[in-house]
Amino acid sequence: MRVSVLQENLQKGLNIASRAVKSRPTLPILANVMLSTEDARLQISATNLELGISAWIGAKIDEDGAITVPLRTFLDLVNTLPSERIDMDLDIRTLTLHLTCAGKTANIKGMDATEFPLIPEFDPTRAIAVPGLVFKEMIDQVAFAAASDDNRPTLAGVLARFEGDLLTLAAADGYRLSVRTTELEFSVGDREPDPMIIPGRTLQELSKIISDEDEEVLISLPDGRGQVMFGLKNVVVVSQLIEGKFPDYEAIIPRHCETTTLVYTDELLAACRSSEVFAKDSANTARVLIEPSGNTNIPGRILIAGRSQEKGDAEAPVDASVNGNAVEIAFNIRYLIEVLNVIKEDQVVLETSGATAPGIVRPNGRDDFIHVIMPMSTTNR
Amino acid sequence: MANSGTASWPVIGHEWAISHLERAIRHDRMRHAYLITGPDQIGKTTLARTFASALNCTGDSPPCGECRACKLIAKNSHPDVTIVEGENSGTLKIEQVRTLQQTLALRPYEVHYRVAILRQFHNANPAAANALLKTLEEPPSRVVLILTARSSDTLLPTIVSRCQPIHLRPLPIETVREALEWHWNADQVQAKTLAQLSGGRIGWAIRAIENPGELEQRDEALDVLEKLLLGKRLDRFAIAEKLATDKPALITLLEVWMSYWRDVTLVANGSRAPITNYDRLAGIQDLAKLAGAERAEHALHATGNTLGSLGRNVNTRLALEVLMLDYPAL
Repeated sequence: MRVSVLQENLQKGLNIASRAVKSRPTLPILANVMLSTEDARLQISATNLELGISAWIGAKIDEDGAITVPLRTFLDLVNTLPSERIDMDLDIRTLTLHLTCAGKTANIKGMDATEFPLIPEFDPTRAIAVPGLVFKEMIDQVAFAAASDDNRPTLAGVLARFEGDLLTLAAADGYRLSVRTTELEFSVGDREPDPMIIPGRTLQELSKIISDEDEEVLISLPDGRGQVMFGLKNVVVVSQLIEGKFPDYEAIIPRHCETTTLVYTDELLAACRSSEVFAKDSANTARVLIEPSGNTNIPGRILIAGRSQEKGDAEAPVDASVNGNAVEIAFNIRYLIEVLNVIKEDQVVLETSGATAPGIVRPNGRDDFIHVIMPMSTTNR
Repeated sequence: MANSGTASWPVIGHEWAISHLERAIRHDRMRHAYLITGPDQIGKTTLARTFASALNCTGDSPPCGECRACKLIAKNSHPDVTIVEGENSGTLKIEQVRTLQQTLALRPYEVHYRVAILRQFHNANPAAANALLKTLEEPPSRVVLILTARSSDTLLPTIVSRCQPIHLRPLPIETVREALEWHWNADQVQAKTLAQLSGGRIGWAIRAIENPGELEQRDEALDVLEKLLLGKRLDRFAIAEKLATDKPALITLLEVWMSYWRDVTLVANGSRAPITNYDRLAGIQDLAKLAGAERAEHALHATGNTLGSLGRNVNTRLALEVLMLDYPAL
């Protein structure tokens, strides 16, 4: 293999691929990136067997070939090189990659590329296209609600379901549920894939990789591999799917509510942050008081209160238009903050039905995003 | 590597176990969990790894040993075959089981089955064993778990009852001898000696052939034992102090001593079972006569207990000194 690339391109490619390399990999070769030539491009791939990333950069190829080299060493080295042309030459006998850049030279010892886990070919012809930034937003609005502990593996994943021209992402961790749908430009029709559970961690990495340049994300399911692939402009992300059945989340979403509260997102978020300062010490429990005004000329209000036995307490009232009865309910304030963080609309709607019923948070004027939070018990305080 | 059994698995001996597993694959009736038990170094992990190969082989006669899956599994670097064991041959910890469970929740990466081989499960701490219970009861589809252990008696009954047991015995001496001659190019004398000394532990014999120092170590260990038995308490303690400095070597040494005491116990009881250290027959017979069956057996148990306690962080020197007191004074 003899290849020449630009330092900036290589650095960028390695940085993207490095998202798939864990600090303590299960197999030695997983600490490596695979470099392989392809037409006039160099493919840089890394995987941790759950998430795999391939990035392509422009290259001048004099001789084809493939090798894997330790990512950390390679990236550390490339970071120190000037932004000029890097010539790479592989000695296949010793599996050593020889680098030259602006008079500097380096040799990196690698491992045989045939031992690297297979990364399936991306087939764009059978892929489903989703607008890039929409998909990024969908992930950001859903994936954070997936469970981070792995006692229930299916809940550590995000359910992705195609139905006609609708794509739905849903995640739940037992205390909250986030569901976001989007309408696709083309109906999936008879190519409709089975619902799949994608690890939340992979989607979060994918969201970080999607940039403004990526007009669309192509989603493709290689046959019988138990994997899903996301094709971006110069990057392909492969994720292993989680085995199992996702719980029937529709049953958790309350069908009606007694009190509807309309409030400005940033004001509510600021109020939540104030009470979080104290709520931290009491398992993030914050009381939420919703009071209608009873007079159409005066707005109602929503009051968020956090209390700590040792440190004190904070109360933050926010003007709101309340429709329905007064309610007192307690939420995990972190959950409330996390969902408000991903709502871009000016106003949010909070729907509640008493202290023991789940609450719903959704952006005002949209029905494609819904977030359900279970209330916390306030009886034994 | 051919095998005398029906299936051609590259495993020495254990024919019935192989044909059982091979049949299970052929009829697509694999269990989700197997428990392979038997003494150390008789090929439990080899059998497990070969089973994993056979499950995932893409060649014509699995395991072909030629396809990508077989090659990577043999090198322990297949993405879908995970081997879990205690670090530094210590206890298997709950974190390792949790990490494994995360891996198992994902669909297989390259092949049909994800296989997890949990080695030396008798070394798993109770928390780790309990954490595995749920996976054993409801494993994800397309997952096969293989546990290996010295015996099922020391495992939690809840673990044992959830696995298909496969009990392996030490191989016949003759099988070991043949294998050494055929596959490891040992000459006749060497093969015969090693096969006898191995006591049916093929793994030990292979290690001895690949690493000639092994035999010398054994000789040395036996010399030390014979010498210290003749010595007074003070001499014994001096030896104990010296041995205590190198713990890994000590464990091999105690294993040799155990095989020796086993031989002495056999001879003292007038048993006709073949003895392992047959090159030391004279010494063993003398000792059997001097010490008697009861004291030989006591020494055997004492050695075993010391070996066990070394794995549990005891003061090495004290443990050895206690052992020295347990050995019969001649």
